[in-house]
Amino acid sequence: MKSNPAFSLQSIGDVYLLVPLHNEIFQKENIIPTNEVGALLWKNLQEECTEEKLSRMVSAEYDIAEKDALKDIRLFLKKLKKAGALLDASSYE
Amino acid sequence: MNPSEKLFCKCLRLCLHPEKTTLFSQEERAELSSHLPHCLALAEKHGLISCFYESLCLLEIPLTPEDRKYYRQMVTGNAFASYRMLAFTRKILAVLEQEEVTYYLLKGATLLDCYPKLELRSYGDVDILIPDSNEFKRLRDRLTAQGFRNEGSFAEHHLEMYDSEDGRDFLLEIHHKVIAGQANAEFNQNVQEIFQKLTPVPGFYPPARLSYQMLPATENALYLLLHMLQHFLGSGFGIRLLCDWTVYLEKHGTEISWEQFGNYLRQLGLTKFSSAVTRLCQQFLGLDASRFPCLLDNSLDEGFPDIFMKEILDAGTFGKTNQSRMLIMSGGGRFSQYFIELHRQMKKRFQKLCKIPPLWPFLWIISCLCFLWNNHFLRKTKTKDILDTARKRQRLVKELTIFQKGEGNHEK
Repeated sequence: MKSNPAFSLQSIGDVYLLVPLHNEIFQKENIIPTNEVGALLWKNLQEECTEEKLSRMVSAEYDIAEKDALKDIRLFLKKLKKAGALLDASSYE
Repeated sequence: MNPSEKLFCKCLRLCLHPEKTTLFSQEERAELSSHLPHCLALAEKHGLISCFYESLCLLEIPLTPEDRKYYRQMVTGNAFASYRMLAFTRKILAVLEQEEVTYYLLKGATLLDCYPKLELRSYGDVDILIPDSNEFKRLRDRLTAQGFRNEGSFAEHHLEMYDSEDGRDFLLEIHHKVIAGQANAEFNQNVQEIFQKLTPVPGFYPPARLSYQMLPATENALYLLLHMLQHFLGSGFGIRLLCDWTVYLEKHGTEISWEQFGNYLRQLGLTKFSSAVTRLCQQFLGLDASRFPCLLDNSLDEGFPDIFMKEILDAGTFGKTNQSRMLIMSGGGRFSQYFIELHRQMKKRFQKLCKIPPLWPFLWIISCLCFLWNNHFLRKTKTKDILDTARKRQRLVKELTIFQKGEGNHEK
């Protein structure tokens, strides 16, 4: 899976938002507020990535257990998928 | 200027130039922490909370959890408003394309590529210029058929149309002139001539893949200056327009024909005004004005930038924060100038009836009564305060020799 290029990570101060800037119409539900960790995940999702790779990265960066990281990452990815911010392999191959 | 105002300006300077991380010393960061409430008030007054918070985060200024929560809420709200306006801009551009109208997108989205981040420059409406009267009417009719409404609001140089979506109103201003007519007829005529014989150039904002037509770079710079002038001669303008001037020159300065720009300034009597705003941007917002020596005028008094900046900081966004700032006369504070201004306002208010001179005495009286009524009931301020403030601001106009041609000593 990887990020949808129609979405952009916007930040103002420590406010992070994933925004479909290419979209014609404004849909509030497709804007995803996130935080520093989400921003890091998004940056890694610019390339093809797996959940396990992401959880290893977060675990190393923030010194938390991989399985705890994986739980939160899955929730985050679910939000991204719902908003259309995530492309699975079949969408871009 | 007081310490809070100086620190606020410095925060904006950092926000516009985030690479300049050494701008604040440790002492200044500590001073900023102690002036936060006043600086926040200035940020709110000038519609620049997102810029201010961006600079606080760059400087890692400690905030209480309550303050941080407040800032984050405001910034998030402002960001959502920006995205809504972007979508509204797209909607308007789509209609313009379908109608094959020759237009120029003004301000707003055309400045997004100049700022470090799109959320730092909020805009509350979409402005387009359509010089051709037939295309103007055709667009107006098309938008009306699409559900846009004109609520009878009164502006000499543009038509205001509102669209509603999800319970929110969005404002589109369709200009047939770049700015409202000013007190100088020759100036008005020259402005009209400059903007009549232009061809739109393409503009593009890559992050949003937004394409549009806009004024050529030289005339766009002139437009930004005229827009500042219009508001300066009204109830004032806030520091946000100086931010626009700074970032526009930095981003597009090499595309501007400075010789032509200088000709425009001399033709319109705006050399000193242009120099004054540029010097403010140089002194307070970090504009490298050495790149634009033709804009700098040696004849301004050394203390003038501080006085002018104080006036701008007092004004807030378009002078709206102080209801006594309603008036300024470009020709001086004599009684005759008040009467000339009354006549001008009468012609703006009664665009058709003013063509019948025998009606003028009655229309003057009605205009005067409307002014007094609005002061008391709408603006809730005394007419005396308005006139006092006008006299104070008059000194600035006199120093800037607005509309007077041939003034200023230019650095070459």
